[in-house]
Amino acid sequence: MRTGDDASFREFARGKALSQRRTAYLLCGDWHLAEDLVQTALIKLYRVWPKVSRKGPVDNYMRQVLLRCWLDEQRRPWRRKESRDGVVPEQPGTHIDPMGISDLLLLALAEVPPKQRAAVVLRYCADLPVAEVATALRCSEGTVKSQAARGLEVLRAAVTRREAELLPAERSR
Amino acid sequence: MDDKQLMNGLHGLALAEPPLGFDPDEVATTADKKVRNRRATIGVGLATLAVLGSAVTFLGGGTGPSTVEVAAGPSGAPPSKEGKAQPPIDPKVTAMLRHLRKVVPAIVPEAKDITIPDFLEPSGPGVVTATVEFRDRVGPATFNLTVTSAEGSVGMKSLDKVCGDGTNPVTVKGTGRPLRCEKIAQPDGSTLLVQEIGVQSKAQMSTNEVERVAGIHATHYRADGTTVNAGSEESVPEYLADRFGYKNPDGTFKTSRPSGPLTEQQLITLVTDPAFTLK
Repeated sequence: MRTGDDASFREFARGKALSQRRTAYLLCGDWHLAEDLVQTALIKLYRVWPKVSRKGPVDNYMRQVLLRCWLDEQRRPWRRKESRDGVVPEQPGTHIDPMGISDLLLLALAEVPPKQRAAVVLRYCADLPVAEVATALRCSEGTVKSQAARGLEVLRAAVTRREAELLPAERSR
Repeated sequence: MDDKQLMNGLHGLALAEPPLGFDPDEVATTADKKVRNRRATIGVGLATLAVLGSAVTFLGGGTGPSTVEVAAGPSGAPPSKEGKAQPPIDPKVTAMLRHLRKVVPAIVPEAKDITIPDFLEPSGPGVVTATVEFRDRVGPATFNLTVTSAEGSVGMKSLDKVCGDGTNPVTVKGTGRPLRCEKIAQPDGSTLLVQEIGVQSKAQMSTNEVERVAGIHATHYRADGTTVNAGSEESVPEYLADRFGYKNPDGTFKTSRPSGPLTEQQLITLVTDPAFTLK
């Protein structure tokens, strides 16, 4: 890769690593896996960087690659099992306010099927327009709308169920 | 909960983001090596084909020269070792970076080999984060300083909801004491939030118990709507352990240190510094 391309890639990687990790975390719910996904996506992006970067903004292409990496990961049940076995690494406590809406939504998001979750995360968490989500998911805008609607439905059911589970525990205190 | 509440909740999700556990520059270097290895492999393969092709041509009676042109080795210019182009950021951010580089050695006098690459935008305009890396007597250390403008703070959990209502506190295993989450009113009308961070085992993930306290965060909610946050945690990213040779006796990298790199007072000094602002 030419020096200028390499420098612009590094600039992009430094600037987007945190936001991409956040998107990856919302998709997979695990900070360690999220970092693995972002690194894999960046390595894949590097191969095509000169061509892609000349076409315009790369953000959506990066999201596509990240999504593909995550969906590929979903198709490897043996790897998921491996990462869930044994001693689980320590994680920063994300349950500072377990009754908060953010914590509830994060737990509920894990119950949404992968493609619907991707549509929900990109559409409502990353606040992307339907057209950009469609490009990232490589599907039509109609499919994005239906996947996002179904995802919200599953999410609402999961939130309602979890709230109902939490209420008796609160009352018993 | 209706769709609108769900969408608002998703839009304003508040995540306790740990420091970035990898160095984007190192990822670029790894990617560059992989591309070069791939090219070298393809080059060797083409060279082998060319040699075979020439031999076939020669044995076949020399019907003409081989037209295969082979790049014998990797091509392309070497990557820039500099590779440190600064992101196009506004002068306020540049001034904050300059100030941060000046104050860190003063606030953390025991810090050596300090690296502060730049402020980056982690989740869009209005939020910038600088990752500070250094080593001290204990080992490698890193912390994030995040500065948020009033616009960038819109999606954050409001101060009155932080810490909960105290009815369902997160407690520390063995002691039963709640994790500290304290709001301290300041004379200028701002509020300082000090929060302990706990670590949970997998078994504790569905409970309100943490194994132990592993860090502390300070956030300054200013009267003008902006916020400044910094955190000090025991965790050590692997690339930093590699950089400073922070290893276990068996040669594996240590991923945590016995204590966080900054004290509460050092964090408070950082976050209340008026020079850190996106106003």
